[in-house]
Amino acid sequence: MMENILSVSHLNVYYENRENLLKRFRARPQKKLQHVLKDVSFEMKRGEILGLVGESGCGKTSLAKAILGMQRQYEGEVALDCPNPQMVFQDPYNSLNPAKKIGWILEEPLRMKPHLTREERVRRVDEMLVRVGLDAKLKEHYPTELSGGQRQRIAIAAALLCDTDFLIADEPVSALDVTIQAQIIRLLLRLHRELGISMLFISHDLRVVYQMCDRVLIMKNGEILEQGNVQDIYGSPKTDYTKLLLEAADIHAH
Amino acid sequence: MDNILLKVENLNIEFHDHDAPERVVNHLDIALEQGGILGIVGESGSGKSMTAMAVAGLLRRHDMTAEGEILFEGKELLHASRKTLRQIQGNDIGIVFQEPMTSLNPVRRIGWQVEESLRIHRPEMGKEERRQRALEALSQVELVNPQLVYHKYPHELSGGMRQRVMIASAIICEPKLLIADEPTTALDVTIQLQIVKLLQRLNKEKNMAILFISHDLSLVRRLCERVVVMHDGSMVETGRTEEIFRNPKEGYTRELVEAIPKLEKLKDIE
Repeated sequence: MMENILSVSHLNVYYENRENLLKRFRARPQKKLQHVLKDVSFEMKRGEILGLVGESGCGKTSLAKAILGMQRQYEGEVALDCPNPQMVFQDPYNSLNPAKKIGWILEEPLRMKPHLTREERVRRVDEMLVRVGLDAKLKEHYPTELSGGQRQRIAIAAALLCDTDFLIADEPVSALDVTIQAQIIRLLLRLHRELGISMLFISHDLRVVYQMCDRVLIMKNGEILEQGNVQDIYGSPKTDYTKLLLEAADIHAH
Repeated sequence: MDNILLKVENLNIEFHDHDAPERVVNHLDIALEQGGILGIVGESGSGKSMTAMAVAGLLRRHDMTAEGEILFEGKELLHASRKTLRQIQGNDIGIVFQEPMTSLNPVRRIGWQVEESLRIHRPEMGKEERRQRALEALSQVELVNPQLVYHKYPHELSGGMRQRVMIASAIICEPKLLIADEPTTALDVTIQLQIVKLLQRLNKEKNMAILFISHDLSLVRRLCERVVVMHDGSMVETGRTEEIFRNPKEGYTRELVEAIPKLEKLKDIE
């Protein structure tokens, strides 16, 4: 069954330029629109890991927002075949509520489901903690007591507790030490295999993308420059920007 | 290795903010020759930034002690007077920090900040000459329009441009040593590559030694001739970069080198 879980066609997103206050109160404000996503089209198969590479400001996060339905104004079409898409963010230090214990944070999405009893919630949280490679005792701790790698595992656990089959991972390993990065990538790959989730993996590290993804999108200035098989694109990059990215990652076209 | 520029011997740094002193740098020895590039790699918390701060003479705090010797051109820095330090900082030793977003003064124009070291170390220099030198430094770091950047404020520049401005102000007095503490970490990979190439060029043209601190092993491999691997405040291994990468002797170094993502599909065994 190789249907598409996500298909984006001719997506255009504009932001209103933030003018300074003086200009905003002028008699006739001139609306300047900034074109942040330019005619973006791609498809994603169910169960696929798709890589998304590009520099800061190229529209990666705008695209993620559009997919999650958080973009109010856009042109084009986004069809996502998943009722509860989830997201894992880059910064594991700021994305967990510091005032609550891990157990409370993880139970939060489950509290939305009234048919679950308290015992059932606790059982699912324990299961998920073990699944992401952590000790179930950790739920008695606060986020500040955990290391960056542990926090990122918690963030992944929180996303998976919603029984989703589509995950956007926005630079999930960029803030971590190299040795921890490898562990988190292996964890994501194992969860992908066990649960069959589809993943949009946003990263600037072409090596990590090679390790994880089947296909990759290269973005710059709101446009998709190249898309295709990872091996094909790394082997024969078509644009100068891709060549530069490969050089920065110390990858030589073969 | 003759012409030693910087020699760190038996450096110990301890924090005293808790009951028991916490040692963050432990018996560290480093040597850097004139015009050389030495890399210090390690994970966060390995003491690499503390070492850089000590060499830069920026570790004068009441809650910590530093022991050992830091010799820069034969002069002892660790216990030098503030006056001696001030003559060296910004003049013979230039420093670039990790965060280009926070290490520039937000209410001063770029030109003023780049000229700061000149005002301190070259008081005989006139206003116009300072301006010329600042513009020169800005064009040396390959900023496209130095005249324009000179009059801008930090918030008007991108991250890569700000880091170039930081480097320009660090090299304006033509220091013999540039300490670069994670200078590219906050930047995009393509910009990282440009900054590393820029450092390489400055090293060759000005014979400026560089102490390059990073957690990014592939950048260190690209830039540095020699490397020091640190873990938990101690030196694990040191030597020529290529040798260490090809043939790591210590277990921790091997772990680090193996953590560089390889170009193969990863198996999901944890």
